[in-house]
Amino acid sequence: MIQTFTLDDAVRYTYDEMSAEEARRFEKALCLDSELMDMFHKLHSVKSRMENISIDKEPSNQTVNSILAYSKTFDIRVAEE
Amino acid sequence: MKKYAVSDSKLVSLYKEGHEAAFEQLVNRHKAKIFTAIYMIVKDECIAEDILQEAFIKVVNTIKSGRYNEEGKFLPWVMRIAHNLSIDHFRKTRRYPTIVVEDGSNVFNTLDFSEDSAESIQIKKDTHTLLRQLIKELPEAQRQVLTMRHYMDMSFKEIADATGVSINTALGRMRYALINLRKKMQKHNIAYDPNIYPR
Repeated sequence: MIQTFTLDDAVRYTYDEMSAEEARRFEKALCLDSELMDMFHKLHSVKSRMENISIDKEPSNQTVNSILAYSKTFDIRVAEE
Repeated sequence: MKKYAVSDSKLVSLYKEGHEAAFEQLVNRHKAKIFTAIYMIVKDECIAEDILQEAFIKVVNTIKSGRYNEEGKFLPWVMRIAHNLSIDHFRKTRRYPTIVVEDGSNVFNTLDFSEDSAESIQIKKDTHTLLRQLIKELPEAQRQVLTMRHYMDMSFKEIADATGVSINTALGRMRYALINLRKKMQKHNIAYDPNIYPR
């Protein structure tokens, strides 16, 4: 029996939130459901475009160095306590 | 999600064995994404720096004391810690945590461009500026879920928990957000050209 998927399932598939088995069933359903296929194409296309926008900000080197220093001195602190 | 030659899981294992370089690699690999996620909640760079540091201190304490759950994925785990600390910050300051990009200019203007031609860079800049504007025009609930899922790598389950809605509501909002964004892109004639924007 072919499982029925909703349009919201196309969102989960687009963002890799299905197990391998569920994704395989979803791909089968895509071939039989033109509305689902149309939705997947729309979602996938806009996701691809958005992947070209990087919004990441970098923390300061001072903060990163403090984190690394904390890790390096962890064992010494534990031994002293 | 990026693929790396050495997985996070492997780096965590090496770190547990005492290889500090592995931890350094994990930090450098994920610091920008985690910092951005925190910043988008607290909207203050100094506070975001403090929370990032606090989050990684918890990471160090947990891994070095042997309490890290091997089954979990590293980045979602750290993101959850960072998210909880950011929300705690709002609770302490009695401010309502709206995870939206009200202005967005500070965050979105930090774009990394590769060494392309001046013309290519300008095309990217123009397109990115317009896309940023279109995202900002989305209804708040849609923009929130889109930001959390697409840019903060939170799962729909995590988004549902963080925003107090069901997973189905989060999925529905994401679908409408993407469809609305697509319509806006078409209206402004933004075409995706893989030759201009190689992945």
